[in-house]
Amino acid sequence: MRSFHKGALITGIGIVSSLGIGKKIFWSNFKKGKSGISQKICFKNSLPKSKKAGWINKINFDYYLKKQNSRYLSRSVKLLLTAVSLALKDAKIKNNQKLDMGIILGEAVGTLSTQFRLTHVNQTEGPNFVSPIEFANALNNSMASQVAIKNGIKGFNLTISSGFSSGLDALGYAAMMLNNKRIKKAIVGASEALSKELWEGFNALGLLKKSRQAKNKSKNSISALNSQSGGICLGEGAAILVLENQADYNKGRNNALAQIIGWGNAFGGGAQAMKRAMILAIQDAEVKAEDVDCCFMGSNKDTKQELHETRAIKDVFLSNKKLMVRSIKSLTGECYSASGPMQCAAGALAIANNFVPPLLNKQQNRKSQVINTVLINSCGCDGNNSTIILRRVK
Amino acid sequence: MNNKIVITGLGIVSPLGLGKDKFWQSLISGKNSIKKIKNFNTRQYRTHHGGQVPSFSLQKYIQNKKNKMGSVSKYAVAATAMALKDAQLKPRDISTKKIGVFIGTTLGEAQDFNKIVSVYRKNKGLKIPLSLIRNIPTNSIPNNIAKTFDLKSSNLAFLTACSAGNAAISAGFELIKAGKLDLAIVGGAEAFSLQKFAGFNQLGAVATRKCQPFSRNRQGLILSEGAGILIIESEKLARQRDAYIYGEILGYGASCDAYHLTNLDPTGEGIIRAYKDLFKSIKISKQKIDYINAHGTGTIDNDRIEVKALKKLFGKKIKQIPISSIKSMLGHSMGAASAIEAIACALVINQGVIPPTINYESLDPECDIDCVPNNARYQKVNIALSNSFGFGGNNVILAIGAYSA
Repeated sequence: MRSFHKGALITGIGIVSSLGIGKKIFWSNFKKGKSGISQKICFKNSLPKSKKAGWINKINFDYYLKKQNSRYLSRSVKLLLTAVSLALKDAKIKNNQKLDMGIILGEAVGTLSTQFRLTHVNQTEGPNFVSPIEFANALNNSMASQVAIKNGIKGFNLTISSGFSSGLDALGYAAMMLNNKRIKKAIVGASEALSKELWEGFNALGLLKKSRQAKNKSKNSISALNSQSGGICLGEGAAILVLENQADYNKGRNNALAQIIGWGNAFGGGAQAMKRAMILAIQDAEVKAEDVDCCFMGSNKDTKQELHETRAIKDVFLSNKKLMVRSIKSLTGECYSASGPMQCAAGALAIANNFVPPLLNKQQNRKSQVINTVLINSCGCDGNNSTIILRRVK
Repeated sequence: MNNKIVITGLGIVSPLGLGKDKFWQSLISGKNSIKKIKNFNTRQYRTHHGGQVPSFSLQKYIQNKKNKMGSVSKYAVAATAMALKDAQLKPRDISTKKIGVFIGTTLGEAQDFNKIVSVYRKNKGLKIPLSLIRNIPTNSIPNNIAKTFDLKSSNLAFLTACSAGNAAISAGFELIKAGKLDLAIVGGAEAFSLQKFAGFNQLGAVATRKCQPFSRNRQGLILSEGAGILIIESEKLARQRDAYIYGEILGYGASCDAYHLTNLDPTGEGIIRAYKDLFKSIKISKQKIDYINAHGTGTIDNDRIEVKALKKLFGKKIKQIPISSIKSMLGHSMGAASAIEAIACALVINQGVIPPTINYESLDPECDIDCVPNNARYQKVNIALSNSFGFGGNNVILAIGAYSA
């Protein structure tokens, strides 16, 4: 199969995460293996006993969104707009270059809190008390539209959902659109905020609970996550990447961190679907499994999923003895659709800095080494799996 | 890369009926599907009318008897079953080909979300059925299609409000063109929900009884529900398996108004940008356009802005192009609307009949176009465009052409 992603350069990164705000602080804390997981999270009257989460507790939105009226915006939109402004600044995109940019976002639960409020008001007070602005903000595409409105971006505007894999699928789709020359530049990524409703939804699904089985089985896995895994540690954040078509990129700018060269996705439960997504991405990138230096796992302490992913990685990279397996979710928590772009940002920074940080609580080699190719996985509990491959810019 | 992308199967669940034949006959006879809503109590809402899908049993279309799908998924799965049958895809084709599923929607399973909030209020978060929670992510709709038909490739939900169906069709077009898929199940699905009724009620965008696009006395849109699914594939594959070809997807154009979350840019600039993107990509002169299926919601401002943009684009030729709105018969089914309209365009090309804009009473001087008032028209159509403009300024225009080998 021929490759379609050779042209998508990553020229800007905007990150708002519990690990830090902005590319430099995020990378510095990632390198140090510093955890963004807070131990004291508690939503008022919420049911779950778990108090751990990757919560962004120190952020002054007014500082980042000073020219934008953010009064009526939800937390996920504020996180998103902050990440977008950081990414555009990082990519040195001028105002007159924004007009034709594309916006492609992934979304898993983005507007859930707003939908909850709207539905609650409609049920308790009646339709005449529903705010029209709240209704518009509750629609799933409102976040991408807010980015367009606040930044005057009039190109292609798309919101994609494939659950937790949404962010990576948005990146893959955008890379394909850039390569097809439908767009020249794009703002791509995802934003998700923690909320009481989400917290309780995950609790109802039993995903926050610790289990004895989880503790035992995690010892046999690659354990990209904390070996004390068992139950998802939720997080929040926004990760935005500015992608540019290589053909139109002015090499004098010299700010491309990496390029997206492969995308694969597959549906279905178990290791087989994860394996298929990785193989499709490797074929699409026209590389060999042995060429991959580092793999960022998509698992999130859901033990079953971690075991499936481990098996899939072992199968795909059987002959690759140098492969380093990492995950930033042990540091940031599970940020749903935003996790994929966040791992992608970490992968691009690893390539640019020739350094792969160690796993949390693991004593591993911290020396620099040449990192040319990084594979990033994203897998949701609903069966959607997506893989992106990054490569050093040639 | 020069391989054409063709339409080989159509499936539809709409207030005008189930299946393409009933839908098409009702459409060209100008049948109005808008009725008093029976699904829920509308006492507190401004409008009591809508386009409801007639009740049906999903088991008529699929084998699986145990399913806890939401209404949107049920519509989408039933329409997919019809489309696969129409495309004469054999189980072997389905199991051996790379088949993607791309579905547009606005609020997904909002009915189930409504139930969850209701249970949550009463039980303070306890005892929420897991089946309801699992239905909440919007991608549960393409996932349910994939699970039902045992599909293992890419499946994505597209969320661009009322243009979501066209966005999903465009995605299938791009991925097949790129060689990543052999075939795609594309379209849109939407079901009634109290949240949508409340939102549109408060926006003052709804008409009380009927939808009258382009007519001077129009009041607004009428909400409806349904699903439209198209099977699209490469010309090579379609010819290999000797499939019937309804038409060819020529391409699409997309833009964002970047103006307002609910209002269209009054200058029409966003629509014009989408058209320019379309003409740039399909490399076909605008002089060759034979028919435009309007977004035509029936709201005062939106119809005027749409016509204003079309006049700027086509100049004097605009009066020679028939531009009808089938929302006059179906109402506005949000995420499903543009997919249903794409099906209508494929049938227009195939059958040589243009469906009318019904309920047209008098001329609005600012909407002085040929809207095919009240009666269908026999006319050969080689290239049809389907306009769709969503909240947040998401515009997607789809171009469908007659197929020639």
